[in-house]
Amino acid sequence: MLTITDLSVAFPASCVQALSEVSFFVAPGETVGIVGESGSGKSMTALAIAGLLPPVAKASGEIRFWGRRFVIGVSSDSDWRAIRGVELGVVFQDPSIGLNPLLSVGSQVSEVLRFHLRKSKLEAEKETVRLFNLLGLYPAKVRMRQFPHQLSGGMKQRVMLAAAICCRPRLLIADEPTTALDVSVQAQILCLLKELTAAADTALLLISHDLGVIAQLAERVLVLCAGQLVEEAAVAELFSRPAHPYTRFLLASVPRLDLPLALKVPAIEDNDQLLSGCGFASRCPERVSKCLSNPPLIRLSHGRKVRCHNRR
Amino acid sequence: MIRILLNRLWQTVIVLFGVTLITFLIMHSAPGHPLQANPELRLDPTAVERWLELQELDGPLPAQYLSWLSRLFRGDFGMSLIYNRPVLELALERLPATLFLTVPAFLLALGLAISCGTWAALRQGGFGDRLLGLGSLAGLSLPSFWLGIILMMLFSYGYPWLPAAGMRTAEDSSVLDILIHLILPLTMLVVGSFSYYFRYVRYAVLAVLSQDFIKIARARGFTELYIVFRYVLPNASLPIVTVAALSLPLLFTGALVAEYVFSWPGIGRWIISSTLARDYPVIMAVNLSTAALVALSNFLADLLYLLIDPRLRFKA
Amino acid sequence: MVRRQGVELYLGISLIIFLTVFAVLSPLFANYDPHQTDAERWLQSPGKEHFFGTDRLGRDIYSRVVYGARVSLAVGILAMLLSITVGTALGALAGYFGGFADQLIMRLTDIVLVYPTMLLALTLVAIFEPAIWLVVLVIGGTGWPAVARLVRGEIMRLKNLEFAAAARMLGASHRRVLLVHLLPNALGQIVVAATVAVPAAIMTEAGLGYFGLGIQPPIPTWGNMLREAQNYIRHAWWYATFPGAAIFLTVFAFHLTGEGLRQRLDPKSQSGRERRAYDH
Repeated sequence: MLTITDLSVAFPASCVQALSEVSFFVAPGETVGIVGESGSGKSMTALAIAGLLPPVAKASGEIRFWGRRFVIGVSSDSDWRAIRGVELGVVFQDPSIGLNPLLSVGSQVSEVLRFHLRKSKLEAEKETVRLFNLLGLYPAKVRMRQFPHQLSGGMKQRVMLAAAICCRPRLLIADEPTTALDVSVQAQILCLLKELTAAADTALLLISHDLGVIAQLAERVLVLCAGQLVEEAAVAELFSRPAHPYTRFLLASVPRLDLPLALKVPAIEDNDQLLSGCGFASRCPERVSKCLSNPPLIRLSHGRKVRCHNRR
Repeated sequence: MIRILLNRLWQTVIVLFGVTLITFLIMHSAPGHPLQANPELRLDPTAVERWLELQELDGPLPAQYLSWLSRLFRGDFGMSLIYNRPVLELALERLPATLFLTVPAFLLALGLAISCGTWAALRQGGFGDRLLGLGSLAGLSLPSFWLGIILMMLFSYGYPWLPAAGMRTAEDSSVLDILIHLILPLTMLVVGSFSYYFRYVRYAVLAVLSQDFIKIARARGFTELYIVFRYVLPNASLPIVTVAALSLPLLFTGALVAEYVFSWPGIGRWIISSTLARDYPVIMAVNLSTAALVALSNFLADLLYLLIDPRLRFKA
Repeated sequence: MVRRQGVELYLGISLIIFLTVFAVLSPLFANYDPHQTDAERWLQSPGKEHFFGTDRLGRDIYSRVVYGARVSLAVGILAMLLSITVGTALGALAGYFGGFADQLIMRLTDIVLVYPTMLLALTLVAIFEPAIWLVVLVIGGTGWPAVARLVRGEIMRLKNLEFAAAARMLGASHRRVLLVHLLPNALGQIVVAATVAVPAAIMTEAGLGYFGLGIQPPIPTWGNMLREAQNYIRHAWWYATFPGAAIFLTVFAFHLTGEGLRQRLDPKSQSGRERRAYDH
């Protein structure tokens, strides 16, 4: 349904290669997780799919989405507008700054319905009430009239979710949807994400640095490191038998009660984002001399890929 | 919300009170007898005598202040020392001409600035943005009186297309004639105000554009135009309203100069000649009423805020 | 994308230096005595001898414009120093202590702010005798509220940051926190305000001169030259053109510098979108 081919994004002004030749796909109704540290290019992937890369970015690649074809750098903003909001919903990290402070939250959901589905004001409001009830924004009629500053972070994220799914998109991209929320609220939002996507058969592309979040929701996981796709695996396999040293490093970085905090975490160095070579080479404990040349992405088994010279 | 309003109202009252006090003190610290101070000027001796008598009748300075204040409340701004006629009457005669110049100038400058400022901000760093940025900086640096003189040299004398002075050719001129007379002073006023507003609008729009909710509105598939009118402009209007209200003294000064340069028969020209002639009651009344006008428009801006911004209307 | 940051700044600063040199070394640049009249050569158009032509009394306009730079820059800088000092002091006190002091100072700023500067200046100068010190006092005395508001805002923002609280916790006095920790951080904003205050003062001074209430002839100022020129614009285009152009150039130089400084201080106005987009 969603196929991404050779997606590259660079910022020439600051000499940063945010993404290099990332390719992957998402099947209808599937939940795919993307993990990686901050700066690994996760959010850029989300922005690229929605055609929202900043104008200073130099990007290339091709995106196929439900029969439509977008060539980054060629397709115009209006091409993308045909899917945004209707077939593709996006939820971003921080709900506290994501809503227009001057409009009531209800109108920010219903305006999406009116804009895309040409619903009348009354119809759109009815539908918004239904959505608010579905998302646990009680009492819906009161909540609708409230303004963003009157709602908590978790409630705002529910509103964002409502606006993203109100047109029943085929794909929902959730970019760190719970990072800015309290831990107690995180679980509720994740549950909602799971229920909503399952019920409407919406595919979900879940982006997070939190392996716990990924483990709960995703069926398949993509690991990004320094803008490269370094590993792809079904969620169970990734957690039980990580193939790439970077994945092992990520898994080991999760604090655990049953193990001592033994691993020394090497920090990201300046030369980390070299244009050639494995993105993890400078920090990799298993590095060999070959790692200065970029390893190819190798298919290990069905649906399992890894980018490492030194695989076991 | 009511509390904010009352608070602002109270502050406005304090400011207005301060303005009357300062105006009064400035006038009464003036050295010498008004007639002696400028013998060659056209003050009416009988009017001056009456004015001085009135002051003596009132007694010491605080008493004079209080009786002046009470006369103000009754709408009595005193008598002009030049014309020996009530100040209010003289002002009302000249007000329409001034409004005819300033209101279109204000609307035109603000309207142009909002459209150009938004356009430039949406194309930040582009050629048009740079050109407008530099142009507005230059417009801000143009001394308005010099601009007026240059305009006059170019279009009234160099190429005699437009009249250089006055508001009408004859007493019974048509509206078209007045409009033709309006072109040069209006241009002069608009250049300065536009440059001033443009910079603020552009900055305000840029600040809104960098907000996350704009990116998210794009992700929801709205068209650029929809986003500009429903998201960008309403949010940018808060600082724009502030600047428009705060800029009124500037507009007033601009009108003063424009009327002087182009002999426009409005309040501005009258103020300048009254000030030069030390027509004290006129100076006091004018200083006071312009300051009051600005204070009130600031209060009005606060009201507009409440209308625009729900964060001020409802506490979380 | 090439960063073009600073073009305005360099252009503005070079212009200011250029103008300052002219003002300080006026006798070297002026080829005539600015006061010397010449009954034979009144209203001569610009030429080899008189670069900008001569005025109604046959005085050399170029030399008068050069000398005029002294008055303009002196008034501009002195008035700026006055308004920056008063504005910074009052703004810092209001912002740091808040409460009653803040209320008092802010109402005072409001009162001065609602007066149209030009009208107040006109009134004051008309009532007292026009003299350079009065012009400076009036312009500086009406220019401080803008600075005070700005500094107050900066100080209020800064004092809520953790480093100020940390300094208090370590036992620093109010005075020390304000002078050592807060004000230096607001310095950038104050410098920008200063570069905006100079052209505003120059403009007001020229306006007063134009209305005949500035520094009086025979001292040549750009404003009083324009006033004289006004009656000759039909016949002598150069008379009004050059003094006005000098005002424009000077004011423009300061505005350019201010804009350049603002861009440096606030990266948001330059490459903000790129930066923000990559933060996520």
